[in-house]
Amino acid sequence: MLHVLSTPVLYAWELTPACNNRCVGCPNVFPRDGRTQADGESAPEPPRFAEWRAVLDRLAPHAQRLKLTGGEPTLRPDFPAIVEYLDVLGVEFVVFTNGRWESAALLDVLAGSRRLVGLLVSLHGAQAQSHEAFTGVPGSFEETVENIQRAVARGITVAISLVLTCHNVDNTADIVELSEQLGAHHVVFNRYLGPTIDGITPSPTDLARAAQNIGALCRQGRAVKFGNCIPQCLIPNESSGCLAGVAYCAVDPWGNVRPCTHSSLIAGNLLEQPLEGIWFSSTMQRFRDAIPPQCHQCSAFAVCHGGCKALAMDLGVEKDPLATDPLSASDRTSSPIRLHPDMRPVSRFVVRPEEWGLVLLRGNTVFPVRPEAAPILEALDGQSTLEEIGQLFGPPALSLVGSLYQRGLITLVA
Amino acid sequence: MSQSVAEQRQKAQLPEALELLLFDSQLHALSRVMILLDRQIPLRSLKVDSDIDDSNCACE
Repeated sequence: MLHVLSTPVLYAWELTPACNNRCVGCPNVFPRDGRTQADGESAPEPPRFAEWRAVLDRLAPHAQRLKLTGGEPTLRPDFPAIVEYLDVLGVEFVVFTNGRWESAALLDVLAGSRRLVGLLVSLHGAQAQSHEAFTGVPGSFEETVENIQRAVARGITVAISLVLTCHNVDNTADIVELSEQLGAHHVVFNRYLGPTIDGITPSPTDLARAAQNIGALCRQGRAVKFGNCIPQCLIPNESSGCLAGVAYCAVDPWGNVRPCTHSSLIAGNLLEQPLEGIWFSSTMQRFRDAIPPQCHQCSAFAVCHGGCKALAMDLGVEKDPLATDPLSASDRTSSPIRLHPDMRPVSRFVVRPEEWGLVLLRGNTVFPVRPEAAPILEALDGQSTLEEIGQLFGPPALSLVGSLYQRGLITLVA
Repeated sequence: MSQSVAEQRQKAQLPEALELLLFDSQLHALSRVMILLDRQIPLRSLKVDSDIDDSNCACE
């Protein structure tokens, strides 16, 4: 059973197909340069920003966060105008970049933005050899590293994002160390979802080993996160499933809406159709229905969401190739959180009503609750203490407060 | 705490689990978070930050 939001709240906006890297395993479903389609025909020039304004006006009330990606988003000539307009609309955004911009003026634009959350910079290895084995551009490592340092020096939050390939799968600790040296906020490890390529695609065994190593880094308190999902039935790990088709979608440079950046399914076009109609189209529903039946019987379904549906659909197979057998039911318990009873929770989320309940939103976090939670949420105002909330609402309320705290949705003030 | 909230508490029959799941197998009970109130714990402000992550699946 899925609780689908009435509109997406997280968007990946692929601003341009152009890219100055030549990644051998580029996962973009559209050609990166020359805008040449698979059938050899030239794709039309992406619409200019003026045509996007009305679309952004319509998205802004729903959009919790945009991820500006590509291609390389900063290569779009009107990139500064887009940043400026997102500031005007008050929509927060992240820029997913390869960090190979040449103009120092770009950092002025980004540093001046009030809604930029930070940069996700692709860095695929701790040394030039491993990074450039993926990017295909000699010198790209040095260029990206220097720009990370410049961005950090300007006070811009930078996270390093990489895909796990044969070239870096055994060097996760080195990458984290480099990230720390560069002053990056954290490292995001992503599973490689591009075409299967010898020497690039890690084996399931290699990936499982990397997941274990990354988990160990997490437990050491290192600034490490998983991006996309590694199925829990391959190996228990800290990754979580994607929200494509439930709370998240991708929009390509021509306005086509897809469930995610990895999916080639086109559900409609934002420049021509209302968002709601696209979101509840038969194509989007087909994507949601692609969850393998056995995953609905798995105790990890709530965490991994059925693995990568985009990959399975594009390969024409029933399930994520890494998925094995459903896990049996387990009694998951977490260690209790000990807190002083005089602490006062303060909400850090916005509440969005849905037909089936309420959704709490902050950044990338999408947290659904039952409608009965409403009076407890109102009490998270910095006035009521934990003890008072417990006395008034009982243990379920304190359990909810604990979950909100773990997800960064409240602060606890003394 | 306001009286209205207390009144709402009296009216509401709160379920044990107030959280929902976006992907619900109806098989796996939510991992409940338990809070133990303890006056021995230092009284200081706490914040968990989770801002610029990339957990909704995207890579380049």
